[in-house]
Amino acid sequence: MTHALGFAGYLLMPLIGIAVWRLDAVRRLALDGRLAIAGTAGTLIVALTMAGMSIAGAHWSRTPLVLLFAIFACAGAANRRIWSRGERWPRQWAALAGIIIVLAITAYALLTARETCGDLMFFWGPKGVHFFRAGKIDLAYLFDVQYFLGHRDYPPLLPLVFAWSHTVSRQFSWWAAVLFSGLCLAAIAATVRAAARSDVAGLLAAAALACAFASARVAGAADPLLLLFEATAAAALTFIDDLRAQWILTAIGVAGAVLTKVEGIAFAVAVVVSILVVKRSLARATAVIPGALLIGTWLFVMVHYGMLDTYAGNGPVHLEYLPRVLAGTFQAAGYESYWIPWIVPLLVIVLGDFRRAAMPVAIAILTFGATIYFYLHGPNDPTSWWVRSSAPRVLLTPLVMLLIAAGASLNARSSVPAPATAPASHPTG
Amino acid sequence: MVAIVSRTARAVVYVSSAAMMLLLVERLHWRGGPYWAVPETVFDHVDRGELPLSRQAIVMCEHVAPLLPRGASITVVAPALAPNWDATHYLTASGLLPHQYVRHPMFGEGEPRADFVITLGRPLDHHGYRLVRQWPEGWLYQRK
Repeated sequence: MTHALGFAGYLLMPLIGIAVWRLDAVRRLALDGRLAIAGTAGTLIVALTMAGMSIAGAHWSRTPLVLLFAIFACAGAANRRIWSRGERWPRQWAALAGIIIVLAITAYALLTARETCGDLMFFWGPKGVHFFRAGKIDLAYLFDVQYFLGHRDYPPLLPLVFAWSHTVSRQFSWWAAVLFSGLCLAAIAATVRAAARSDVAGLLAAAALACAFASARVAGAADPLLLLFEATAAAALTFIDDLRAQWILTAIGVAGAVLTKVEGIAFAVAVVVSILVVKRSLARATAVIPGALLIGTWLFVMVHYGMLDTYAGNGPVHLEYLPRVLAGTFQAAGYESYWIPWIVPLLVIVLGDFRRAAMPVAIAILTFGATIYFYLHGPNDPTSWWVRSSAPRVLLTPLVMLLIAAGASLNARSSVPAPATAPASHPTG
Repeated sequence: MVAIVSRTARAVVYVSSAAMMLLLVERLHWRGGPYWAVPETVFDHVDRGELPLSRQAIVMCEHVAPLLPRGASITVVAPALAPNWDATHYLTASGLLPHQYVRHPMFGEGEPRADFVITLGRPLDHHGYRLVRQWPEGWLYQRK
Protein backbone atom coordinates (compact mmCIF):
# COMPACT_ATOMS: atom_id res chain seq x y z
CA MET A 1 0.00 0.00 0.00
CA THR A 2 2.88 2.35 0.83
CA HIS A 3 4.34 1.84 -2.62
CA ALA A 4 1.01 2.37 -4.40
CA LEU A 5 0.37 5.58 -2.45
CA GLY A 6 3.93 6.78 -2.92
CA PHE A 7 3.65 6.21 -6.66
CA ALA A 8 0.23 7.88 -6.72
CA GLY A 9 1.95 11.01 -5.45
CA TYR A 10 3.95 11.14 -8.70
CA LEU A 11 0.93 10.18 -10.83
CA LEU A 12 -0.94 13.22 -9.50
CA MET A 13 1.56 15.65 -11.05
CA PRO A 14 -0.31 16.12 -14.37
CA LEU A 15 -3.45 17.02 -12.45
CA ILE A 16 -1.61 19.60 -10.36
CA GLY A 17 -0.06 21.16 -13.45
CA ILE A 18 -3.12 20.93 -15.70
CA ALA A 19 -3.27 24.73 -15.99
CA VAL A 20 -0.72 24.52 -18.84
CA TRP A 21 -3.48 22.93 -20.95
CA ARG A 22 -4.91 26.45 -21.23
CA LEU A 23 -2.13 27.21 -23.69
CA ASP A 24 -3.41 26.62 -27.23
CA ALA A 25 -0.10 25.10 -28.28
CA VAL A 26 -0.27 22.51 -25.48
CA ARG A 27 -3.96 21.80 -25.99
CA ARG A 28 -3.32 20.88 -29.62
CA LEU A 29 -0.83 18.15 -28.68
CA ALA A 30 -1.78 14.49 -28.45
CA LEU A 31 -3.07 13.43 -25.02
CA ASP A 32 0.13 11.70 -23.90
CA GLY A 33 2.17 14.79 -24.71
CA ARG A 34 -0.30 17.01 -22.88
CA LEU A 35 -0.14 14.75 -19.83
CA ALA A 36 3.66 14.78 -19.93
CA ILE A 37 3.88 18.57 -20.10
CA ALA A 38 1.24 18.99 -17.38
CA GLY A 39 3.21 16.52 -15.26
CA THR A 40 6.38 18.53 -15.78
CA ALA A 41 4.60 21.72 -14.76
CA GLY A 42 2.96 19.94 -11.83
CA THR A 43 6.31 18.71 -10.55
CA LEU A 44 7.68 22.25 -10.58
CA ILE A 45 4.52 23.58 -8.89
CA VAL A 46 4.78 20.94 -6.13
CA ALA A 47 8.43 21.77 -5.47
CA LEU A 48 7.93 25.55 -5.52
CA THR A 49 4.85 25.36 -3.28
CA MET A 50 6.67 23.26 -0.71
CA ALA A 51 9.74 25.48 -0.89
CA GLY A 52 7.54 28.57 -0.54
CA MET A 53 5.79 27.12 2.53
CA SER A 54 9.19 26.29 3.97
CA ILE A 55 10.38 29.88 3.49
CA ALA A 56 7.13 31.19 5.00
CA GLY A 57 7.60 28.97 8.05
CA ALA A 58 4.48 26.89 7.34
CA HIS A 59 5.24 23.24 8.02
CA TRP A 60 4.05 20.71 5.47
CA SER A 61 1.48 18.11 6.31
CA ARG A 62 -0.85 16.04 4.22
CA THR A 63 -4.05 18.09 4.61
CA PRO A 64 -2.77 21.56 3.67
CA LEU A 65 -0.66 20.20 0.82
CA VAL A 66 -3.48 18.10 -0.63
CA LEU A 67 -5.86 21.05 -0.27
CA LEU A 68 -3.46 23.44 -1.95
CA PHE A 69 -2.76 21.10 -4.84
CA ALA A 70 -6.46 20.31 -5.23
CA ILE A 71 -7.09 24.06 -5.54
CA PHE A 72 -4.38 24.31 -8.22
CA ALA A 73 -5.89 21.35 -10.08
CA CYS A 74 -9.46 22.70 -9.91
CA ALA A 75 -8.40 26.22 -10.89
CA GLY A 76 -6.37 24.83 -13.78
CA ALA A 77 -9.14 22.55 -14.97
CA ALA A 78 -11.93 25.15 -14.63
CA ASN A 79 -11.98 25.92 -18.31
CA ARG A 80 -14.03 23.85 -20.73
CA ARG A 81 -11.65 24.62 -23.59
CA ILE A 82 -8.89 22.56 -22.07
CA TRP A 83 -10.86 19.37 -22.63
CA SER A 84 -10.87 19.75 -26.41
CA ARG A 85 -9.26 16.88 -28.30
CA GLY A 86 -5.65 17.11 -29.33
CA GLU A 87 -4.13 16.77 -32.72
CA ARG A 88 -4.16 13.51 -34.67
CA TRP A 89 -1.91 12.26 -37.41
CA PRO A 90 -1.67 8.99 -39.33
CA ARG A 91 -0.76 6.38 -36.74
CA GLN A 92 2.32 4.18 -37.12
CA TRP A 93 1.04 1.18 -35.21
CA ALA A 94 4.34 -0.69 -35.31
CA ALA A 95 6.05 2.31 -33.70
CA LEU A 96 3.36 2.58 -31.02
CA ALA A 97 3.71 -1.14 -30.27
CA GLY A 98 7.47 -0.65 -30.06
CA ILE A 99 7.07 2.19 -27.55
CA ILE A 100 4.83 0.03 -25.37
CA ILE A 101 7.32 -2.87 -25.49
CA VAL A 102 10.24 -0.60 -24.58
CA LEU A 103 8.34 0.90 -21.65
CA ALA A 104 7.29 -2.58 -20.48
CA ILE A 105 10.92 -3.78 -20.54
CA THR A 106 11.96 -0.69 -18.58
CA ALA A 107 9.18 -1.25 -16.04
CA TYR A 108 10.42 -4.83 -15.61
CA ALA A 109 14.00 -3.59 -15.17
CA LEU A 110 12.94 -1.06 -12.53
CA LEU A 111 10.74 -3.50 -10.64
CA THR A 112 13.51 -6.12 -10.52
CA ALA A 113 16.02 -3.54 -9.24
CA ARG A 114 18.30 -3.62 -12.29
CA GLU A 115 18.68 0.10 -12.94
CA THR A 116 18.82 1.69 -9.49
CA CYS A 117 21.33 4.49 -8.97
CA GLY A 118 23.35 4.60 -5.77
CA ASP A 119 22.68 8.33 -5.43
CA LEU A 120 19.06 7.53 -4.56
CA MET A 121 20.21 5.72 -1.43
CA PHE A 122 23.17 8.00 -0.66
CA PHE A 123 21.60 11.45 -0.72
CA TRP A 124 18.50 12.09 -2.86
CA GLY A 125 16.31 9.68 -0.90
CA PRO A 126 17.71 10.54 2.58
CA LYS A 127 17.20 14.25 1.87
CA GLY A 128 13.57 13.57 0.89
CA VAL A 129 13.02 11.54 4.08
CA HIS A 130 14.54 14.21 6.34
CA PHE A 131 12.71 17.05 4.58
CA PHE A 132 9.44 15.18 5.16
CA ARG A 133 10.19 14.55 8.81
CA ALA A 134 11.17 18.17 9.40
CA GLY A 135 8.12 19.39 7.46
CA LYS A 136 10.37 21.82 5.60
CA ILE A 137 13.63 22.10 3.70
CA ASP A 138 15.76 20.78 6.52
CA LEU A 139 18.81 23.06 6.53
CA ALA A 140 19.97 21.60 9.85
CA TYR A 141 20.25 18.20 8.17
CA LEU A 142 21.87 19.58 5.03
CA PHE A 143 24.42 21.59 6.99
CA ASP A 144 25.27 18.83 9.48
CA VAL A 145 28.95 18.10 8.96
CA GLN A 146 28.15 14.37 9.25
CA TYR A 147 26.39 14.58 5.88
CA PHE A 148 28.97 16.67 4.09
CA LEU A 149 29.35 13.86 1.53
CA GLY A 150 25.64 14.18 0.72
CA HIS A 151 26.28 17.37 -1.32
CA ARG A 152 24.52 19.92 0.87
CA ASP A 153 24.24 22.59 -1.85
CA TYR A 154 22.70 20.37 -4.54
CA PRO A 155 19.42 21.97 -5.64
CA PRO A 156 16.36 20.85 -3.67
CA LEU A 157 13.71 19.99 -6.28
CA LEU A 158 14.00 16.19 -6.27
CA PRO A 159 14.08 15.86 -2.44
CA LEU A 160 11.00 18.11 -2.35
CA VAL A 161 9.21 15.85 -4.83
CA PHE A 162 10.26 12.81 -2.77
CA ALA A 163 8.94 14.56 0.35
CA TRP A 164 5.60 15.08 -1.43
CA SER A 165 5.41 11.36 -2.31
CA HIS A 166 6.37 10.61 1.32
CA THR A 167 3.55 12.89 2.48
CA VAL A 168 1.03 10.95 0.39
CA SER A 169 2.24 7.52 1.53
CA ARG A 170 3.37 8.38 5.10
CA GLN A 171 6.24 5.85 4.71
CA PHE A 172 8.85 6.71 2.09
CA SER A 173 8.60 4.28 -0.81
CA TRP A 174 12.01 3.62 -2.36
CA TRP A 175 10.29 1.54 -5.03
CA ALA A 176 8.01 4.42 -6.01
CA ALA A 177 11.10 6.65 -6.28
CA VAL A 178 12.67 4.10 -8.63
CA LEU A 179 9.49 3.81 -10.71
CA PHE A 180 9.28 7.59 -10.97
CA SER A 181 12.27 7.35 -13.34
CA GLY A 182 10.19 5.13 -15.61
CA LEU A 183 7.45 7.77 -15.58
CA CYS A 184 10.02 10.37 -16.61
CA LEU A 185 11.20 8.16 -19.48
CA ALA A 186 7.62 7.66 -20.68
CA ALA A 187 6.95 11.39 -20.37
CA ILE A 188 10.04 12.30 -22.42
CA ALA A 189 9.05 9.85 -25.16
CA ALA A 190 5.49 11.24 -25.10
CA THR A 191 6.75 14.82 -25.32
CA VAL A 192 8.96 14.02 -28.32
CA ARG A 193 6.21 11.99 -30.02
CA ALA A 194 3.49 14.58 -29.49
CA ALA A 195 5.61 17.63 -30.27
CA ALA A 196 7.14 16.08 -33.41
CA ARG A 197 3.80 14.53 -34.33
CA SER A 198 5.64 11.35 -35.14
CA ASP A 199 5.19 7.93 -33.56
CA VAL A 200 8.53 6.93 -35.08
CA ALA A 201 10.27 9.81 -33.30
CA GLY A 202 8.64 8.64 -30.06
CA LEU A 203 9.90 5.11 -30.65
CA LEU A 204 13.45 6.29 -31.27
CA ALA A 205 13.41 8.43 -28.13
CA ALA A 206 11.99 5.60 -26.00
CA ALA A 207 14.37 2.92 -27.30
CA ALA A 208 17.53 5.02 -27.16
CA LEU A 209 16.79 6.39 -23.68
CA ALA A 210 15.74 2.99 -22.32
CA CYS A 211 19.13 1.61 -23.42
CA ALA A 212 20.99 4.57 -21.97
CA PHE A 213 19.02 4.54 -18.68
CA ALA A 214 19.75 0.84 -18.20
CA SER A 215 23.44 1.23 -18.95
CA ALA A 216 23.86 4.36 -16.83
CA ARG A 217 21.66 3.01 -13.99
CA VAL A 218 19.81 6.26 -13.39
CA ALA A 219 16.68 5.02 -11.61
CA GLY A 220 15.92 7.06 -8.52
CA ALA A 221 18.56 9.67 -9.31
CA ALA A 222 17.85 13.23 -10.42
CA ASP A 223 18.86 12.65 -14.04
CA PRO A 224 15.53 11.35 -15.41
CA LEU A 225 13.68 14.35 -13.96
CA LEU A 226 16.37 16.73 -15.20
CA LEU A 227 15.98 15.25 -18.69
CA LEU A 228 12.21 15.65 -18.55
CA PHE A 229 12.53 19.36 -17.77
CA GLU A 230 15.19 19.77 -20.43
CA ALA A 231 13.10 17.92 -23.01
CA THR A 232 10.13 20.18 -22.25
CA ALA A 233 12.19 23.33 -22.79
CA ALA A 234 13.92 22.05 -25.92
CA ALA A 235 10.70 20.69 -27.44
CA ALA A 236 9.02 24.05 -26.85
CA LEU A 237 11.88 25.90 -28.54
CA THR A 238 11.94 23.41 -31.41
CA PHE A 239 8.30 22.72 -32.20
CA ILE A 240 6.14 25.51 -30.77
CA ASP A 241 5.85 28.71 -32.78
CA ASP A 242 3.42 30.54 -30.49
CA LEU A 243 5.80 32.88 -28.64
CA ARG A 244 3.81 33.05 -25.41
CA ALA A 245 3.42 29.28 -25.08
CA GLN A 246 7.03 28.76 -26.09
CA TRP A 247 8.23 31.26 -23.47
CA ILE A 248 6.15 29.69 -20.68
CA LEU A 249 7.16 26.10 -21.44
CA THR A 250 10.82 27.03 -21.86
CA ALA A 251 10.69 28.89 -18.55
CA ILE A 252 9.14 25.85 -16.84
CA GLY A 253 11.73 23.51 -18.35
CA VAL A 254 14.73 25.68 -17.54
CA ALA A 255 13.52 26.50 -14.01
CA GLY A 256 12.93 22.83 -13.29
CA ALA A 257 16.32 21.87 -14.73
CA VAL A 258 18.36 24.36 -12.68
CA LEU A 259 16.49 23.34 -9.51
CA THR A 260 17.03 19.63 -10.15
CA LYS A 261 20.76 19.22 -10.79
CA VAL A 262 23.93 21.28 -10.92
CA GLU A 263 24.16 20.50 -14.64
CA GLY A 264 20.89 22.39 -15.10
CA ILE A 265 22.83 25.65 -15.07
CA ALA A 266 24.98 24.49 -18.00
CA PHE A 267 21.75 23.59 -19.80
CA ALA A 268 20.28 27.05 -19.09
CA VAL A 269 23.39 28.75 -20.46
CA ALA A 270 23.26 26.49 -23.54
CA VAL A 271 19.61 27.46 -24.07
CA VAL A 272 20.42 31.18 -23.91
CA VAL A 273 23.36 30.88 -26.32
CA SER A 274 21.38 28.67 -28.71
CA ILE A 275 18.43 31.08 -28.75
CA LEU A 276 20.73 34.01 -29.44
CA VAL A 277 22.64 32.16 -32.18
CA VAL A 278 19.86 30.16 -33.86
CA LYS A 279 16.78 32.30 -33.28
CA ARG A 280 18.57 35.65 -32.85
CA SER A 281 16.00 36.73 -30.28
CA LEU A 282 16.76 38.36 -26.97
CA ALA A 283 13.07 38.28 -25.97
CA ARG A 284 12.94 34.46 -26.17
CA ALA A 285 16.14 34.19 -24.14
CA THR A 286 14.40 35.93 -21.22
CA ALA A 287 12.65 32.61 -20.56
CA VAL A 288 15.63 31.59 -18.44
CA ILE A 289 15.10 34.51 -16.03
CA PRO A 290 12.61 32.74 -13.70
CA GLY A 291 15.01 29.80 -13.39
CA ALA A 292 17.94 32.13 -12.79
CA LEU A 293 16.05 33.88 -9.98
CA LEU A 294 15.06 30.58 -8.36
CA ILE A 295 18.51 29.00 -8.41
CA GLY A 296 19.95 32.39 -7.44
CA THR A 297 17.79 32.33 -4.31
CA TRP A 298 18.99 28.84 -3.43
CA LEU A 299 22.62 29.77 -3.95
CA PHE A 300 22.14 32.96 -1.95
CA VAL A 301 21.00 30.84 1.01
CA MET A 302 24.04 28.57 0.58
CA VAL A 303 26.43 31.53 0.38
CA HIS A 304 24.71 33.22 3.34
CA TYR A 305 25.38 30.18 5.54
CA GLY A 306 28.83 29.59 4.05
CA MET A 307 27.76 26.22 2.71
CA LEU A 308 28.61 26.55 -0.97
CA ASP A 309 30.42 23.42 -2.08
CA THR A 310 29.79 21.90 -5.52
CA TYR A 311 28.86 25.23 -7.12
CA ALA A 312 32.13 26.73 -5.93
CA GLY A 313 33.97 24.86 -8.69
CA ASN A 314 37.04 22.69 -8.76
CA GLY A 315 39.87 25.03 -9.62
CA PRO A 316 41.91 25.61 -12.77
CA VAL A 317 41.60 23.87 -16.13
CA HIS A 318 43.98 20.96 -16.75
CA LEU A 319 44.35 20.84 -20.51
CA GLU A 320 46.73 17.91 -20.18
CA TYR A 321 43.70 15.79 -19.26
CA LEU A 322 41.98 16.53 -22.59
CA PRO A 323 42.98 13.43 -24.60
CA ARG A 324 42.11 11.07 -21.75
CA VAL A 325 38.90 12.94 -20.90
CA LEU A 326 37.78 12.74 -24.53
CA ALA A 327 38.64 9.06 -24.75
CA GLY A 328 36.92 8.27 -21.43
CA THR A 329 33.83 10.27 -22.35
CA PHE A 330 33.61 8.59 -25.75
CA GLN A 331 33.88 5.19 -24.07
CA ALA A 332 31.14 6.04 -21.57
CA ALA A 333 28.86 7.28 -24.36
CA GLY A 334 28.68 3.79 -25.84
CA TYR A 335 25.95 2.81 -23.34
CA GLU A 336 26.95 -0.84 -23.88
CA SER A 337 24.98 -0.50 -27.13
CA TYR A 338 27.75 0.17 -29.64
CA TRP A 339 26.88 3.90 -29.70
CA ILE A 340 23.60 3.12 -31.54
CA PRO A 341 21.62 5.60 -29.36
CA TRP A 342 23.85 8.37 -30.80
CA ILE A 343 24.42 7.10 -34.32
CA VAL A 344 20.75 6.72 -35.24
CA PRO A 345 19.52 10.23 -34.32
CA LEU A 346 22.59 11.71 -36.05
CA LEU A 347 21.79 9.66 -39.16
CA VAL A 348 18.15 10.74 -39.08
CA ILE A 349 19.17 14.39 -38.73
CA VAL A 350 21.49 14.08 -41.72
CA LEU A 351 18.76 12.39 -43.80
CA GLY A 352 16.10 14.91 -42.83
CA ASP A 353 15.58 18.66 -42.91
CA PHE A 354 18.11 20.28 -40.58
CA ARG A 355 16.39 23.68 -40.25
CA ARG A 356 14.08 22.90 -37.36
CA ALA A 357 16.65 20.58 -35.81
CA ALA A 358 19.21 23.38 -35.48
CA MET A 359 18.03 24.50 -32.04
CA PRO A 360 18.33 21.15 -30.17
CA VAL A 361 21.52 20.32 -32.08
CA ALA A 362 23.04 23.59 -30.84
CA ILE A 363 22.03 22.77 -27.25
CA ALA A 364 23.46 19.26 -27.66
CA ILE A 365 26.82 20.60 -28.86
CA LEU A 366 27.00 23.18 -26.06
CA THR A 367 26.03 20.80 -23.26
CA PHE A 368 28.50 18.20 -24.55
CA GLY A 369 31.18 20.89 -24.62
CA ALA A 370 30.25 21.95 -21.08
CA THR A 371 30.64 18.35 -19.91
CA ILE A 372 34.17 18.14 -21.31
CA TYR A 373 34.98 21.58 -19.88
CA PHE A 374 33.93 20.54 -16.36
CA TYR A 375 35.88 17.28 -16.56
CA LEU A 376 39.03 19.30 -17.26
CA HIS A 377 38.58 21.03 -13.89
CA GLY A 378 39.03 17.92 -11.78
CA PRO A 379 41.44 18.26 -8.85
CA ASN A 380 42.69 14.77 -9.66
CA ASP A 381 42.90 12.96 -12.94
CA PRO A 382 39.19 12.85 -13.82
CA THR A 383 39.53 9.70 -15.90
CA SER A 384 40.48 7.74 -12.78
CA TRP A 385 36.89 7.63 -11.54
CA TRP A 386 34.90 10.77 -12.24
CA VAL A 387 34.33 10.35 -15.98
CA ARG A 388 33.49 6.66 -15.68
CA SER A 389 30.97 7.25 -12.91
CA SER A 390 29.30 10.42 -14.15
CA ALA A 391 29.65 10.64 -17.94
CA PRO A 392 26.99 8.01 -18.76
CA ARG A 393 24.46 10.12 -16.84
CA VAL A 394 25.64 13.62 -17.76
CA LEU A 395 25.76 12.74 -21.47
CA LEU A 396 22.05 11.96 -21.40
CA THR A 397 21.34 15.68 -21.87
CA PRO A 398 23.01 16.00 -25.29
CA LEU A 399 21.50 12.61 -26.19
CA VAL A 400 17.97 13.83 -25.44
CA MET A 401 18.65 16.98 -27.47
CA LEU A 402 19.73 14.86 -30.45
CA LEU A 403 16.61 12.71 -30.11
CA ILE A 404 14.47 15.86 -30.20
CA ALA A 405 16.43 17.06 -33.22
CA ALA A 406 15.82 13.68 -34.89
CA GLY A 407 12.11 14.12 -34.17
CA ALA A 408 12.21 17.49 -35.90
CA SER A 409 14.03 15.98 -38.87
CA LEU A 410 11.67 13.04 -39.12
CA ASN A 411 8.81 15.44 -39.59
CA ALA A 412 10.37 18.69 -40.71
CA ARG A 413 7.04 20.33 -41.24
CA SER A 414 5.92 19.53 -37.72
CA SER A 415 5.29 22.55 -35.57
CA VAL A 416 2.60 23.80 -33.27
CA PRO A 417 1.94 27.15 -34.87
CA ALA A 418 0.87 30.37 -33.27
CA PRO A 419 -2.92 30.62 -32.95
CA ALA A 420 -3.15 33.45 -35.48
CA THR A 421 -1.36 31.44 -38.15
CA ALA A 422 -2.83 28.02 -37.44
CA PRO A 423 -3.90 26.45 -40.72
CA ALA A 424 -7.54 25.47 -40.88
CA SER A 425 -6.61 21.90 -41.77
CA HIS A 426 -5.23 21.24 -38.28
CA PRO A 427 -7.81 19.01 -36.63
CA THR A 428 -7.70 20.71 -33.27
CA GLY A 429 -11.07 19.35 -32.23
CA MET B 1 13.24 11.88 -53.49
CA VAL B 2 12.01 13.37 -50.19
CA ALA B 3 9.66 10.43 -49.71
CA ILE B 4 12.46 7.93 -50.29
CA VAL B 5 14.73 9.69 -47.78
CA SER B 6 11.88 9.86 -45.29
CA ARG B 7 11.12 6.15 -45.71
CA THR B 8 14.82 5.35 -45.31
CA ALA B 9 14.98 7.36 -42.06
CA ARG B 10 11.94 5.55 -40.71
CA ALA B 11 13.39 2.17 -41.67
CA VAL B 12 16.63 3.06 -39.91
CA VAL B 13 14.67 3.93 -36.77
CA TYR B 14 12.66 0.71 -36.80
CA VAL B 15 15.68 -1.53 -37.34
CA SER B 16 17.85 0.28 -34.81
CA SER B 17 15.07 0.39 -32.21
CA ALA B 18 14.66 -3.37 -32.52
CA ALA B 19 18.42 -3.75 -32.09
CA MET B 20 18.43 -1.46 -29.04
CA MET B 21 15.59 -3.46 -27.48
CA LEU B 22 17.55 -6.68 -27.93
CA LEU B 23 20.67 -5.09 -26.45
CA LEU B 24 18.59 -3.80 -23.54
CA VAL B 25 17.18 -7.25 -22.81
CA GLU B 26 20.65 -8.78 -23.08
CA ARG B 27 22.03 -6.18 -20.65
CA LEU B 28 19.27 -6.82 -18.13
CA HIS B 29 19.74 -10.58 -18.47
CA TRP B 30 23.48 -10.19 -17.92
CA ARG B 31 22.82 -8.64 -14.50
CA GLY B 32 21.71 -12.04 -13.29
CA GLY B 33 18.72 -13.85 -11.85
CA PRO B 34 16.39 -14.66 -10.34
CA TYR B 35 14.49 -12.94 -13.12
CA TRP B 36 10.90 -13.19 -11.93
CA ALA B 37 11.20 -13.08 -8.14
CA VAL B 38 10.30 -9.90 -6.28
CA PRO B 39 13.61 -8.43 -5.09
CA GLU B 40 14.12 -7.65 -1.42
CA THR B 41 15.69 -4.23 -2.03
CA VAL B 42 15.97 -1.67 -4.83
CA PHE B 43 19.64 -2.64 -5.15
CA ASP B 44 19.39 -6.40 -5.63
CA HIS B 45 20.36 -6.69 -9.31
CA VAL B 46 22.27 -3.54 -10.14
CA ASP B 47 25.27 -5.68 -11.01
CA ARG B 48 26.24 -9.24 -11.75
CA GLY B 49 27.78 -11.55 -9.18
CA GLU B 50 27.80 -11.22 -5.40
CA LEU B 51 25.20 -9.02 -3.77
CA PRO B 52 26.72 -5.54 -3.32
CA LEU B 53 27.41 -4.26 0.19
CA SER B 54 25.06 -1.35 -0.53
CA ARG B 55 22.26 -3.88 -0.76
CA GLN B 56 23.38 -5.53 2.49
CA ALA B 57 23.37 -2.10 4.15
CA ILE B 58 19.70 -1.65 3.25
CA VAL B 59 18.73 -5.08 4.61
CA MET B 60 20.76 -4.56 7.79
CA CYS B 61 19.07 -1.21 8.46
CA GLU B 62 15.70 -2.95 8.18
CA HIS B 63 16.89 -5.68 10.59
CA VAL B 64 18.24 -3.35 13.25
CA ALA B 65 15.64 -0.56 13.12
CA PRO B 66 13.27 -2.22 15.69
CA LEU B 67 16.19 -2.90 18.07
CA LEU B 68 17.55 0.62 18.30
CA PRO B 69 16.40 3.24 20.79
CA ARG B 70 15.17 6.53 19.33
CA GLY B 71 17.88 9.13 19.13
CA ALA B 72 20.73 6.61 19.43
CA SER B 73 23.73 7.33 17.26
CA ILE B 74 24.77 4.71 14.76
CA THR B 75 27.15 4.27 11.87
CA VAL B 76 27.62 1.69 9.14
CA VAL B 77 31.01 0.47 7.96
CA ALA B 78 32.65 -2.03 5.66
CA PRO B 79 35.68 -3.10 7.81
CA ALA B 80 37.47 -4.49 4.76
CA LEU B 81 37.79 -0.94 3.48
CA ALA B 82 39.28 0.59 6.65
CA PRO B 83 40.34 3.30 7.31
CA ASN B 84 37.95 4.78 4.72
CA TRP B 85 35.18 2.30 5.75
CA ASP B 86 33.23 3.14 2.54
CA ALA B 87 31.27 6.20 3.58
CA THR B 88 28.39 5.49 1.21
CA HIS B 89 26.91 2.96 3.64
CA TYR B 90 26.32 5.38 6.49
CA LEU B 91 24.73 7.78 4.00
CA THR B 92 22.37 4.97 2.99
CA ALA B 93 21.49 4.41 6.64
CA SER B 94 20.68 8.11 7.10
CA GLY B 95 17.61 7.62 4.90
CA LEU B 96 16.59 4.27 6.35
CA LEU B 97 17.04 5.01 10.06
CA PRO B 98 15.45 8.45 10.41
CA HIS B 99 14.68 7.91 14.11
CA GLN B 100 18.38 7.55 14.91
CA TYR B 101 21.30 9.90 14.48
CA VAL B 102 23.45 8.38 11.76
CA ARG B 103 27.04 9.54 11.86
CA HIS B 104 30.15 9.38 9.76
CA PRO B 105 32.31 6.42 10.93
CA MET B 106 35.01 7.40 13.43
CA PHE B 107 37.01 4.96 15.54
CA GLY B 108 40.21 6.84 16.36
CA GLU B 109 41.37 7.57 19.90
CA GLY B 110 39.57 10.62 21.28
CA GLU B 111 37.08 10.75 18.39
CA PRO B 112 33.35 10.70 19.22
CA ARG B 113 32.07 7.19 18.63
CA ALA B 114 28.58 6.09 17.66
CA ASP B 115 26.42 4.15 20.15
CA PHE B 116 25.91 1.39 17.60
CA VAL B 117 27.83 0.12 14.60
CA ILE B 118 26.59 -2.00 11.72
CA THR B 119 29.34 -3.82 9.88
CA LEU B 120 29.07 -5.26 6.39
CA GLY B 121 31.15 -7.99 4.80
CA ARG B 122 33.11 -8.91 7.92
CA PRO B 123 32.87 -8.47 11.72
CA LEU B 124 34.28 -5.49 13.61
CA ASP B 125 37.53 -5.91 15.49
CA HIS B 126 37.37 -3.08 18.02
CA HIS B 127 37.80 -3.29 21.81
CA GLY B 128 35.27 -0.52 22.39
CA TYR B 129 32.28 -2.45 21.00
CA ARG B 130 30.46 -5.69 21.83
CA LEU B 131 28.44 -7.83 19.42
CA VAL B 132 24.66 -7.51 19.82
CA ARG B 133 23.44 -9.71 17.01
CA GLN B 134 24.48 -11.23 13.75
CA TRP B 135 22.56 -11.71 10.46
CA PRO B 136 23.66 -13.23 7.15
CA GLU B 137 24.00 -9.66 5.81
CA GLY B 138 26.07 -8.20 8.64
CA TRP B 139 26.68 -7.55 12.34
CA LEU B 140 25.30 -5.11 14.91
CA TYR B 141 27.61 -3.86 17.70
CA GLN B 142 26.98 -1.66 20.73
CA ARG B 143 29.48 0.60 22.44
CA LYS B 144 30.76 -0.90 25.73
